[in-house]
Amino acid sequence: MTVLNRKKAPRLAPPAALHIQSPTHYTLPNGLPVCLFNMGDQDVVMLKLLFPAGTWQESSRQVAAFTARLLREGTTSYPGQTLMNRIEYCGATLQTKAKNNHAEIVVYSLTKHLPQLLPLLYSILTESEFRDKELNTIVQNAKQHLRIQQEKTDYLAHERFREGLFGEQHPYGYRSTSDDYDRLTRDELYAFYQRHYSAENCVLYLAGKLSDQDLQLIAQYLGGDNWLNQHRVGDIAHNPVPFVPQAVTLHKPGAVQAAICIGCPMFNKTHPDYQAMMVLNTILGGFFGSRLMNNIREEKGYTYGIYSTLHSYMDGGDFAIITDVNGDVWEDAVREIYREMELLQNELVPAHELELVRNYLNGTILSQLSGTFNLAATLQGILVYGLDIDFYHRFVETINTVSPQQLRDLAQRYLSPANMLQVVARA
Amino acid sequence: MISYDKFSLDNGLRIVVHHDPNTPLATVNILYDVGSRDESESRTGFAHLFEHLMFEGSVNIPDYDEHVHLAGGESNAFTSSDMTNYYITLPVHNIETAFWLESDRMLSLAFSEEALAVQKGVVCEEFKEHYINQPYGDWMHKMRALCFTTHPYKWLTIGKELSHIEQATLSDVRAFFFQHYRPNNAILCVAGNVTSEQVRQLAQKWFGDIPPSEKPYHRQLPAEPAQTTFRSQHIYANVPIDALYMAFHIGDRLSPSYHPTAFICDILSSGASGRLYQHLVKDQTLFSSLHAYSWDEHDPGLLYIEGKLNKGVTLESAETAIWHELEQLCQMPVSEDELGKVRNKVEAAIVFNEVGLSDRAFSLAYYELLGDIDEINNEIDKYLRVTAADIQQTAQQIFSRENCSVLYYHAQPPSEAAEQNADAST
Repeated sequence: MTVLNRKKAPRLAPPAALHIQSPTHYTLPNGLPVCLFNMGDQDVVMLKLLFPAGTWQESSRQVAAFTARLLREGTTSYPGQTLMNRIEYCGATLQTKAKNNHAEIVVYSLTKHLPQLLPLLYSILTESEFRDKELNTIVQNAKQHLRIQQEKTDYLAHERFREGLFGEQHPYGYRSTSDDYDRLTRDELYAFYQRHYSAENCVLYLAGKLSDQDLQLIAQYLGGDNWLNQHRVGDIAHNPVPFVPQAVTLHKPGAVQAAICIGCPMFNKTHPDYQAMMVLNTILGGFFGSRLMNNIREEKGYTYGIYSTLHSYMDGGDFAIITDVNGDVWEDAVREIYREMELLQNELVPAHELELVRNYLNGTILSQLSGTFNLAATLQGILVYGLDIDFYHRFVETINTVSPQQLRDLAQRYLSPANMLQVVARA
Repeated sequence: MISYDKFSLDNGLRIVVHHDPNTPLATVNILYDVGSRDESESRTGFAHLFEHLMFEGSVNIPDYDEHVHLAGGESNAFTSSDMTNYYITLPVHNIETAFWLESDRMLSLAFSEEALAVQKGVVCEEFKEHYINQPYGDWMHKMRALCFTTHPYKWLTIGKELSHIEQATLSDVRAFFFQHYRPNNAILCVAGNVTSEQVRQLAQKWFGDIPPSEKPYHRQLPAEPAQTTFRSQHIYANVPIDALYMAFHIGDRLSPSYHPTAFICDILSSGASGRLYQHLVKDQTLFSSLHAYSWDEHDPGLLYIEGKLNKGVTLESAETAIWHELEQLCQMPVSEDELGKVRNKVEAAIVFNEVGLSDRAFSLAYYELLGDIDEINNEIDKYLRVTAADIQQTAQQIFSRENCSVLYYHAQPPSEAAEQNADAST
């Protein structure tokens, strides 16, 4: 019998070729485009309606968020609490929320409850009520929530950071106040709903195990002419303010940790450098084995966690390093963050580290594209940009071939410490 | 319905295999039967600190994470009062790497002073991030201390205080490891496109020669005596609004009251149709947020109700309104409609939990830890058998004043808060 050599790692297999199950695209009679991921073993479904009804399109502050929020507050046929009682009776969950450039209505359910749920969903799309009573309660609760958020250093730092990146009037950058909530009216929300939540402005994503009968039922409820509004939401321009790199300090007396945000505006997923930047970002702070995590957490014990991220939005994006550190050492943490950026600008990434990140990213992509709901969420994240699944084939190609020189060039172009906005919220 | 196969090695390691041919990934999940309830009261937070040290190198492999990432995998862990769970999800063709890594850290850790010093710092920052640098961050610490006089659930998994973490020594770490991190105290679950025979061979190869503990750990925790009088505490802090926290003792995870209790939480607080939300947040607008829930603790734990008050509402009237809702549950059986709702909800929750590979792997290990893995596929029937009478009876057992503890969390400006708390403690 051979003695087991525990010092020797088992041989690793090369990453398998990426096999992506493509969604099916089709159109309902009213022109509504459908993206269908019909797969999986469990009898479950996710039904997501996406509308151009985000912060980007809103008429005044918070209108998009509260319009989406009030979609759960009752319709003509199912007034007030009846609506959510009926939905939750089916064991289903309904999420409605506005994001930067879209609003979404999402239902998760066992497939067998679709016949009960579709009339409810149709009612939300065509006859939501928007009553003052519900609006007032939601506004009061949101104001209470905001008061608590404003006590948190990470919230304060992050809000100020976004404002610094995009500007205080920009939909990606503005900071909400209680006054913004107080100014909301039922009529403004209702008008926003009528204008934006219509079939010609909608895209439907379906994921789960669906029979032909299920699909027919969905088409029956969502494919009709009766929720067209003859208005297509057009392109709207918002220009961010010219970016000014600077260091901002916010004081929160009594805070035991310092919340740090460091970053700058960045391009989105459609930019030719995006995929290589993802590799660079992963090395810097994109995963548990990153340089920032190794330095600030694993060597110094300054923080529970530190990450850098490329946030991609429909119109631009940002690069952000975010962490909460021991309040006594924030200056050293900030210094080390910049030092790591400079290292990437000045020195080539060693071959072993690059191999590790290549393997890790290959595994991550496999994981993001596995399982019905993961796959649907991941592909939605590129389809909304007008990209197709070739994005992931090119991404794998970039991951496996990007050179240390290219990564250094990218760091020199995009990761200069002198070009960063730094926000620290601390005692 | 989750299928599985189960066997053991001679050293006592229990192994569960779940075959899923439709994924290119595999999850290797190891559950250790140790949690913060196994700590001594003077050394709390240790099970969790230890979990961090499990990533700091083992006897033959100095760099655990590096090999996980080289294999294209992702790894993490969590510690609770009852257990410590570790998992790696990676491309199935690299599954042996997971066996190599997990078996080496079960064989023995590296026990480095430097790693211990750094991870103490990391855990102290985790403590601050979640429990100190947050408005109301200390409420759960205070509530557990108020409700439990005897059972180790009186401290949270993160630890009772920062100093306990700061004082941990390497000899503590070593003793803890050889007491709890042995094959006969662990459950290995492998999920993915693998056969039982493959797993058996890999497990025998990598885990077969790890010795079991010489003196197996027998858990003998002091039982919490029944609470006989109402308990309360006033807290004055620099927070923006008043908050109310209530807790009630409930049965253990395997008691017949477990499923009715879960339904009670759902009836009170699930989604937007729960009674507390509809009556007290929407109709009476006493609270801006209000939730009821329990953690699935193995020993008798707590049902919590937590709410943030609206302006102009007193803590007294807020509490009265909650008691009124609880009395309704005790006095009137729930309607067929409400019962149907919570049944449908739990059915959906169980099926959705089977969607993710790593969720399935953890669930299998968890049910094996609870005592009988076969119960994983019986859980839904147990819920569906719960009647309105069961719910009413369980509510009557739980919602009495002598079984209740309340924290009144008063919003105060900073200077006054310090003064008031000084008064309160005398």
